[in-house]
Amino acid sequence: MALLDVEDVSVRFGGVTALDGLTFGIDEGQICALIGPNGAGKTTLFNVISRLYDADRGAVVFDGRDLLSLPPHGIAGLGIARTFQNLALVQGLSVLDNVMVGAHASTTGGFAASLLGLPVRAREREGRARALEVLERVGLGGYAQLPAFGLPYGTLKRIELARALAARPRLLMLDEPASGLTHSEVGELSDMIRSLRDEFDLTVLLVEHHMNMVMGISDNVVVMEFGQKIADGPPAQIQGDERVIGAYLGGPG
Amino acid sequence: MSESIDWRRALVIVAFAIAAIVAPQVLGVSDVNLLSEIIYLSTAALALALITGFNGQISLGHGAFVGMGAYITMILTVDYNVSYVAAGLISLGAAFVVGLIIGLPALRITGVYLALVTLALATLFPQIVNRLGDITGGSVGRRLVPREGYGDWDRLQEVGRRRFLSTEGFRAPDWTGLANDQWRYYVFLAIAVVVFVLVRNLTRSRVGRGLVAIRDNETAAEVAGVPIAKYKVLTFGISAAIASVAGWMFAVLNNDVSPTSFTIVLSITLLVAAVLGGANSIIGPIIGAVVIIGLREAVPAGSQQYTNVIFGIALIVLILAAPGGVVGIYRKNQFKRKQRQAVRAAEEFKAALEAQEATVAE
Repeated sequence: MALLDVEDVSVRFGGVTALDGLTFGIDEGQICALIGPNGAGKTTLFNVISRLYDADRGAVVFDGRDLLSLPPHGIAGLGIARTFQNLALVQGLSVLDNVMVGAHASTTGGFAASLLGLPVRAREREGRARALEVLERVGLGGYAQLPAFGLPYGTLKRIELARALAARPRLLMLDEPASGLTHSEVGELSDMIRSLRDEFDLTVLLVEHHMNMVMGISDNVVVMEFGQKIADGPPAQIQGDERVIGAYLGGPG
Repeated sequence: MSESIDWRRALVIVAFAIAAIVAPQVLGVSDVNLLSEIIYLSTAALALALITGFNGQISLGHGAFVGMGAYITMILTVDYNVSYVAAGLISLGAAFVVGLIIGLPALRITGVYLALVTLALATLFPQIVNRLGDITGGSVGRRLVPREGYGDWDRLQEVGRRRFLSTEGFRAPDWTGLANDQWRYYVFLAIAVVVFVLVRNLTRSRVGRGLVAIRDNETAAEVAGVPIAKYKVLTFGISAAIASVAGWMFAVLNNDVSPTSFTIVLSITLLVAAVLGGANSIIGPIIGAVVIIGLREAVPAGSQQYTNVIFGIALIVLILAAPGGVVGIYRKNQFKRKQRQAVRAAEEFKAALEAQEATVAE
């Protein structure tokens, strides 16, 4: 059974149809890539799953639960974490605290407990240790106490990755993780995504334009154009698909 | 690291604690009252620092919550013979609820618009007080210790002298052996320590990170699972409750509560205090309060009208030069140092890696 099912999802912004009856599923443990030209609706779909956008039609079912009936802050608790195409870090917090914000849904402690301080100390220490572990894992152990701005772009992207991992997600959604990275960094990232998937039992949904990376690490590729799915299958099959070549290269399609 | 004890910091804290405890024993009455006033203003500014500095909800109306605390304390102790402790707790609860109610519409309005709406709250408060003249004393206000010939004097005569005595002001219990001003100072200090520790706990917790995340990047906070609406409204309530505690202090310190004390000027003074010291910190409001009251005292009698001008200029200069306030300047330097350390560590690591690769290549 699929972990995530996107069923006939449509989103309209005024007269623009950003998603038009999109349907696909991701099996547990898969790395699934979402590709397509700019404006195809890839990030829109991410925002629908995150509940930042409302869908006009359709359903998004995660592990048997309909996400579209939940508030945006209710998504993380189910085990869905994401990164953003244009970084969304909390500049006023340190790198470590940013990662700990990522763990918000998987930790506890409300206003009363936080005000009184004592009962949450131990949990806080535990959370800190875990966040540090995640930072080490993405190679940023030495950055923990720095403010989360003014750092190299690739580093900021990794902080976002660490923040998403801190949520202990089952589904990790990465929005263009390779954009702006150098060639060698892209290679490192590909290896990291694969090993993270195995290590943390993740299912990964990925939006990416970097074709070498997509074809290298994906189990399944979903190709979108104008808010619709035009192809769906393993990388080898997608690479030979005429409609995909058409959409990307502007051929006769 | 952060887990180990910072001895220099601990030393500073201990030194301040000793100074704070010894001060009223060596200072005169007016200086002790000045310190009490600093504690009052620090607490009020802390309320604003929490809501505006940490959570990013700009409030220009916190003077109203301070006023609420002061009036409720005054009315309850004088008219209803409620003890100071109970009056403080009741005003705290009432301000919390009103804060929640005002926090609700604040969910839909942010930034400058919220500043405007809360500004309305600040200007409205004295009007409400005037309207409710029967219990508030109207524009002339009332005293905690009733004056002869004043509004409720006859009623107080009716209920008898015993009840009148119980509201003779905030007096030091005999067992303390302290003068009233000293006792008041210690009570303020104890309350402020509790409030500051609670707020510090909050800001350093999971909830506190959520509050800052909401301030800096609402989308990121929401996606991480922070319930934005709940956090914002609760913070508004807590902040209002803290402001009302400061209001209680005001009433107890001045014995005199009138609407002129809680105009927009107070709200702006609180904002200046918070921003001056660093609204995004716990120590900032204290620094701000010390500077503001110090400045007021430094201005020679007869030219008091210039103090607000000085505040205004100080605020403009500060926002241009150091948006993070006094604490912000300190933090910036700390961050720069850490950043240099990290860069150095990264370079060393890279050099070591290259050296290793070189030896492998050989």
